[in-house]
Amino acid sequence: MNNKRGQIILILLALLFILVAPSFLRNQYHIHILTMVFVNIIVASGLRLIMTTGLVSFCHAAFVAIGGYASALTVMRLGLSSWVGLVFAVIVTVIIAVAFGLILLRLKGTYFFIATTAFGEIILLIFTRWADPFGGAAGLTNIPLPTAIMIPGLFAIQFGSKVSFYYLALAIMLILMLIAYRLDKGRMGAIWTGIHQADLLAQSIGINIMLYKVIAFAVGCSMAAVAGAFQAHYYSHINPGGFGFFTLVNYLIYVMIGGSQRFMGPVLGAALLTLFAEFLSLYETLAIYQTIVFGIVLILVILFLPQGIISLPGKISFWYQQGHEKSNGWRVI
Amino acid sequence: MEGDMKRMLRITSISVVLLANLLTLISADLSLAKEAEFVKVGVLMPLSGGGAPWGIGVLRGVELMADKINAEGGIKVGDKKYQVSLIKSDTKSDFNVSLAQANKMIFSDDIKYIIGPILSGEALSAQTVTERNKVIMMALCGTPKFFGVDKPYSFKLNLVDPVSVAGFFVYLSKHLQGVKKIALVGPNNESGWGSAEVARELAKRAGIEIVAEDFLQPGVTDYFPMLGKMIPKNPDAIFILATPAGQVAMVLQQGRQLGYKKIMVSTTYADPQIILEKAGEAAEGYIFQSMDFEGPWSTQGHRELRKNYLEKYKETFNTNSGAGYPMLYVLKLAIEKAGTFDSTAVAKAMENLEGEMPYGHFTMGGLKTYGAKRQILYPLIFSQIRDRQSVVLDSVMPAIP
Repeated sequence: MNNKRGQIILILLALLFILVAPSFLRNQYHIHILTMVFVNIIVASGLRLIMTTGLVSFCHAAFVAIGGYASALTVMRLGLSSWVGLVFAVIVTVIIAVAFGLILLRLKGTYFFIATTAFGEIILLIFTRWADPFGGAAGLTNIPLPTAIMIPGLFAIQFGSKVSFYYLALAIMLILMLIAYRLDKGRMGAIWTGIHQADLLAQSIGINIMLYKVIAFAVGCSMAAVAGAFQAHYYSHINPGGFGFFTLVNYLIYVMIGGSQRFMGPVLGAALLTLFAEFLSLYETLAIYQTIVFGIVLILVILFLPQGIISLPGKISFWYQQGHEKSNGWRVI
Repeated sequence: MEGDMKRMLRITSISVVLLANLLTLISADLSLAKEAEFVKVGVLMPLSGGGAPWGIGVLRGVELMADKINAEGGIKVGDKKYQVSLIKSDTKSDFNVSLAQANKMIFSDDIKYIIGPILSGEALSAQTVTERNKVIMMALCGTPKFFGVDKPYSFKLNLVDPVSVAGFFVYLSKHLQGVKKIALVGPNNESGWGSAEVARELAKRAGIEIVAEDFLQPGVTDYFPMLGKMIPKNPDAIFILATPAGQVAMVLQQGRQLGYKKIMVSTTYADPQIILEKAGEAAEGYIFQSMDFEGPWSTQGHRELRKNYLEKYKETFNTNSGAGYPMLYVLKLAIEKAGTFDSTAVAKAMENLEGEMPYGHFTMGGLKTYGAKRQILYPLIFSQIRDRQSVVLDSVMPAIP
C-alpha cells in the first residue's frame, strides 16, 4: 500500500515538474527535446501494447507515417481542420491495421517478423513512389500548423510556438497513456498477457485470441498514428525517409531497454534514451559513437536487466535486502 | 512504515528540486563573454551513414575556407572584422536527425547561416525550420523542390544535380550530337527523382528520347537486373544521376560485364580515384563531372585547396572538399555586400551576387526555372577516364535560366 502510494506521489511530482518545465527552460531547443520525448513515449507505448500479446511488430514506424500523411492530406487537400485530420488519421489506421492484422496476426515468431517488415517497407514504398498525393520521396512540405482551439467568448489557443506544441504533445500523451493504462490493467490487458503466455490455453477456454490480437494491434497502431499526425503538423513536413527500418529499431530499443513487461517501461526507455542521445550530441566525439553506445547499452540491459531499466529499483532493493540479511548472519536460502 | 513514507517523500522532493535546478543551469545562457567578435556558421553534414564520404569531404572544404577567411582577418561588417566560428553537426544521413540538429543550431546555438545538408530529404526536412526562422541554408542537395519564391532563405552554392545535369546537356549539344537515346539510372529518393525530372525536361527540349529509366534503393549493389532490362533498348548513353562514387563504379562494372560499350555518364561529382579503384578497366571511357585541382584546368583556388588540405589533414585528398570550399566565401561576400548580419538582408544580397570566388567568376541564376536566383553558376568541368587517367574534356557554363 505504501509502495503504491509512494509511486503515485512520484508520478504526481513528475507530472508537476513537466507541467512547469517550460517556465524555467529558457532554451527553446530543450523544450523541443522534451516534446520529442512525449512523442517517442506515445509511439513506444503503442508498440509495447502490441508486444503484450507476444508479437513484436516491425511495421510500427510505417503506422507513424500513415498517421502523419493521413492528417496532413486531410488538411492540405480537403481544407479541413487538423483535429478532423487527427480523427481521420486514427480511422484510416484502424482500418488498415484491422484489414492487414487479420492476415498478419495469424503468423507467429519469425514469420510475423518477416511479414510485418515487408508490410512496413511496402507502405513506405507507396509513399515514395506516388508523387501525387504523397509528394514522392520529397514528401509533403508546408503542412499547416494545428488549427487553433477556439473557446467562444473566452480565448483561443494558437499553435506556433515551441511551448504550445510542448503542452499539446503533453496533453495528447497523457490522454493516450490513460487509455492505454486502463486497457493494460483491465480485463483486456489480462487477456493480452494470457495470449502471450499461453495462447492455446487461452483459446481453449473460449477466448477469441484473433479478436484480441487485432484489438491490440489496432490500438497500438492508432497510438503511433496520433504521434505521426502530431509530428507532421509540428515539423510542417513529412517524408517517407524518416520512417525506415532504423527508426523502427529505435522504438524497439526504447521498449526493450525501458522494460517491455511493465507499463512504465517504454516511458522510461523513451525518455532516458531520447535525452541520452541529446547529451551525446553535445560532444562531437561522443556523437559519432552514439550508435555504438546504444548498442552496448542494449546488450548490457539484455544481459543484466532482461526486464529493462524499470526493474532496476526492484533489483537494487533485492540486493540490498540480501546484503542486509547476510550481514545479520541470516543464511540466504 | 510511516517513517519510510516520510523518508521517501523527502528524498523525492529533494531530487525534484535538484533536477529543476540542474535544468535551469543547463538552459541558462552560459555563453562566454560577448560573441560580437565571432560569426557562427552551422555546418550540417552527414558525417556517418551513407552520405559520409560526401559530408566529410565537404566539411573539410568549409573548414579550410574558414581558416583562410580568419587568417585574412575575418568577415568585415562596418568597421569591424568578425572571425568565423563553425558549429558542426552530424545528420547521420537521417532526415529526423537533420531536422533535430537544425532545431538545435537555430534555437540552442543561435545560428543564422547553415551550410548543408547534402541529401535532399535532409535538406527538405531541415528547411521547414530554417525558413520559418529566417535562417539562410546553403544546401548541396539535388532536389529542385528545395527552391521556391516562398523560400527566400534557401540557396545552393555549388554545382550538383540537377545543375550538373543541365551542364552535361550543354556538353552533349556541343560534343556528342550523335546521342539520340538515353537511359536514366538513379537512387530512389528525392535526389534521384529531382535530377530525373530535369533530365526529362532537357532531353525533351533537345529532342533526345529517354528509352529507359530506373531508380533503386540507395545502397543497392546489384544493378544487373536493372541494366539487363535497360541495355537491350540500346541507349546511346546511360546517365547515372545523383549517385555516390562507389555505386557509380558498380554500375560501370556491371554494365560493361553485360556488354554495354557506349557512353556512361555520371552527372554528380564522383571521385575518379574511387571509380578507378573499384571499376578498374570498366571505367574506361566513363564521363563525369569533375574538378581539376592541379592540372591545366585548375584555378588558383583549386590548387590552394589541395595544398592546404594535404598540409592540414595529412590524408589522401578528398575531392568532395571542392564542393564545400567556395560556399563560405560566397556567404562572406553576401554578408559584406549587405553590410549587416541580418539574414534577410544577407539573403537579398546573395540573390543578386556576382563576382569572383576561388574558382573564378560566378553569378546567381535560376530565376525562370525556380522563380528566384538562388543557384550559383560557374563553369563546370567534364572529364573522361582514358587509359586509367582522368582527362578534362571541356568546361561549360550550366544553362539554368
